[in-house]
Amino acid sequence: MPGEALVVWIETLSRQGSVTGRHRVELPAAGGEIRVGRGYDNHVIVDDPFVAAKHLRVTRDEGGALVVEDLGSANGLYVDQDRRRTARTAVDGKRTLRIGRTRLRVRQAGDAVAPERVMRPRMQLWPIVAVLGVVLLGGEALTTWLRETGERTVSDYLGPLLSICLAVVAWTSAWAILTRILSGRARFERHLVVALSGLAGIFVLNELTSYAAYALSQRPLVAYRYVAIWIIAAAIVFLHLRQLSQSRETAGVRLKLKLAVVTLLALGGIGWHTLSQWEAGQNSDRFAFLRGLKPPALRMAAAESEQAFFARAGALKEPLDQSRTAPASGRGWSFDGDDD
Amino acid sequence: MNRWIVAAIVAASCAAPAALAQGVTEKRAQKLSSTAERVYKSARPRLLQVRTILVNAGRQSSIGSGFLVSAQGLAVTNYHVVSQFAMDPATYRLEYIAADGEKGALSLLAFDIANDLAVVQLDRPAPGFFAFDPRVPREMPAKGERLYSMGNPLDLGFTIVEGTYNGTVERSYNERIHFSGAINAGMSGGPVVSAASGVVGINVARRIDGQLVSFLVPARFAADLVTRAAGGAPLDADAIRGEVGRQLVAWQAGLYKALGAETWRSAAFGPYRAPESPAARFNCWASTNANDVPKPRGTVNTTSCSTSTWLYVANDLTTGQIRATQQYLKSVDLNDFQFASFLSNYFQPASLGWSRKRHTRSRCHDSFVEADGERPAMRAVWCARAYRDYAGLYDVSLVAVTQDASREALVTRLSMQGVAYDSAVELGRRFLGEVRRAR
Repeated sequence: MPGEALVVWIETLSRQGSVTGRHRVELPAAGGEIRVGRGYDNHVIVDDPFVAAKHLRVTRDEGGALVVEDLGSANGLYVDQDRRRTARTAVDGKRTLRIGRTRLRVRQAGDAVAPERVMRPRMQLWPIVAVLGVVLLGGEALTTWLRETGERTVSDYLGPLLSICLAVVAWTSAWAILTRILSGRARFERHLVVALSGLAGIFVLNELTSYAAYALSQRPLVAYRYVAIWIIAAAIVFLHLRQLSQSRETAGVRLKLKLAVVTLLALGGIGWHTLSQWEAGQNSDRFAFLRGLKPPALRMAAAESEQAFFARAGALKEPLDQSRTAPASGRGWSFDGDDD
Repeated sequence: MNRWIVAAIVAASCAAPAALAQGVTEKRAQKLSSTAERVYKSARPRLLQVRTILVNAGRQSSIGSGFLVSAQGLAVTNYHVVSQFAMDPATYRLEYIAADGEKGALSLLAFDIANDLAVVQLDRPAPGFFAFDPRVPREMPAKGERLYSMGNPLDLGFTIVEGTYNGTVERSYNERIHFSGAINAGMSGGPVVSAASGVVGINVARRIDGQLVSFLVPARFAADLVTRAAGGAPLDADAIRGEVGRQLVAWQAGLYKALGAETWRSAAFGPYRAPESPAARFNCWASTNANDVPKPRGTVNTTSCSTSTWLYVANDLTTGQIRATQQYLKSVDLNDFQFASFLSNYFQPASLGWSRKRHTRSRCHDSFVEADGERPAMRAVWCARAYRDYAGLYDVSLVAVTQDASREALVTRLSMQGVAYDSAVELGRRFLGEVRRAR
C-alpha cells in the first residue's frame, strides 16, 4: 500500500551468509529513501573503508517494490554472484548486495523465513568416543605385546599410546577451532569421532593386511596398502570438512569443492608415496618378498611343491637377462612397494 | 697420514728382533744376510713397479710390483694390480718403472682372474729375467724353506723380505701358498724366490687380521699364463670384458662341479637336520645368544659356513663366494605371535653387496613350500640378480624357514655369488631338499 510508511530491515551479513547486524528503518510513503554509506548522515552507517560516504539508497518504485541504487560510488554495487557492477536493481529479500567489502540484504516484514526446525534429541557421542578409544588404544597395546620379542619395557607401551592420544587431540582441536571460526560451533565431539574412527580404520587395515598377506601368501596386500591408507585419510578429511557447514541444509554447499580437495589429497598422497619409493629404489637393491611371518597355524594359502618353487625361481632368469641389457645409468621402472 | 704411522710401526717393530738376533752366532747371521743380499743383487734389475695412471690427471691411481720373465720384455704381475686398467682402458693406462728409473708403457697381453695373474709387455727388451723354480710344478719346497719376497711396498722403494714356505692353504679352491712373511700393499705382483733364485710364487695377498700371514700364487700358474700370452697382441676393452666373463663362467663351472661331487655334511640343529657344508671347501663358525644379558626371550644358535675363496674382478666387484648359514631359533618365553615376529627378524636373504653399475636389481620369488617326507613345510624366498657385464652369471640368495612348529624353527640360508643360473638352482634344490625334521 503506497500510502503507508514501510518497515525495512537492512541486514549486514558475514562472508558465510550469517547475519551480523540488523537495522530497522522506516521508509516513508512517498518520495522517501533509505541511505546507506560510511557518512553519519546515512540511515545505515557501514564502517568499511571501501564504502563511499554516500554509497547507495533504497527507494520504492511506482509499483511499490523496493529498489536499490548506486549513488555513484567508486567501488560500486554488486548483486549476488554477478561479477558486473549494477547501477540499480530491485530487491526481494533474498538477494545479497555487496558494497566495498560489506554484504547487505534488504528485507521487509512480509518476507518469508525458513520454517521452524524440529529439535531432535542430541545424540550422545561420548559412548562412541569411549568405544573407539578403547578399540584403538587396546588394539595398539595388544599388537605391541604380540610383537614384543625383547625385554619388556613400560615405555614401549606408553610411548605409542601417548603419542596417539596427543596426535588425536591436536588434530581434533585444529578442526574444532576451524569449525568454530567458520560455522560458529566447534563440534569437538563429532570431529573426535571422525578422527578416532579414521585412525581405528587405518589400524585395523594395517593389521588385517599383514595377517592376510601371510595367510594368503599375497605380498601385494602389504606392498600396496598405502593406497588404501591414503584413501582412508582422504575420507577422514572429507568428513571433517563436512562438519564445517553450518547446518544440515547447508551441508550440500561446496560439496563439489570438498570432494575435489579430498580427491586431490588422496591422489597426491598416493603419487608422492609411489614416487618416493621408486626413487629410493634406484640406488639400492631391496629384496621384494613378504618379510612378516605369523604363526604357521594361520597359513591358508596352498603350499607349492619343491619342484614348483624351483621352477618359478628358474623362471626369473629370463626377466633378469632382459634387464641386464638396460643401461645402468638409466632409470628403469622397477617398483615393488614397501613391506612392514 | 695413517699410512705413515702404520709404516713407522712396522719399521719400529722390525728393529727389536734385529737387535735380539745379534746374539746368534756370527757365522750363521752372516750366511743368512749374504743369501738375501745375493738374491736381491741379482734380482734388482729384473723388478718393476707397475703403475696404473689416470690418463686425464697423468698421476698414478694405484701401484703394484712385477717382474720380467723373458728377454722380449714380458713381465708378470697380479691381475688386481692392472684391474682398473682392465675394467676401463679408456680412462687408465699402465706404466712401469724399472730398477734404473726408466719409465715406459705396458700393454696387457693376458690375465688369469682365478689365480690373480696378468702378463704385460714392456715397450723395450728386458736386460735380464727371472726363471721359474725348476722344481715347479713337480714338487713344491719343503715346509719351512726360506723364501725371499720382493716388491715395492707402499711406494717406498724396492725391498726384499725373508719369510718361510708353509705349504698350500687348506680348504681353498684356488691353490695358494701360505707364506709367513711381511707382504704389504704395493708388493702385489712381485716375485717370491727360493735361495737358488727360481720363482716359487707371486705375492698376492695377506690377512689383515693376522701377523705375517701372507699368500702367494704358485709359480706354475704364472708359467702357464706366460706360455699362453707369448706372441699375443694387446687386449682391447671388448676382448678384456669377453675374457673376464669367459674366465668367471669357466671358474664357477669347475667349482660347482666339484661341489656337486662332494657329500654335504649334515648336522643336527635342535630337532632338525640340515646340510652344513661339503667338508673340504668351507670354513664354519658357530655362535649363540644363549648367554646374552638381558636374557634372550628366544635362543638363536647360528652355524655359518663359507668358502674362503673369492675372486677379485674390480674394486667394486668381488665374486665367487658361497655361504651357507643355519640358524636354529627356539622360544624361551615368547608366545606364538611373538615368536613369529622374532623369527621375521632372521628371515632375510644374505646381503651380497650391490653396485648399480655391476648388477641388475634383484627379482624374488617367495612362497610356502609343502612338506615332503621328513622335510617339514617351509616358507622360502629366492632372490636373484644378473651381472650386467658378464652374461650367464648371477648372484643368488635363498632363504627358507621351517613352518612345522610355532615356537621353534630352522632358518636355512644359502648365498652364491657369480654363479650360473642352472648351477644355483641345482645347488639350492639340493640344499633345501636335505632339511629334515627328526621323528
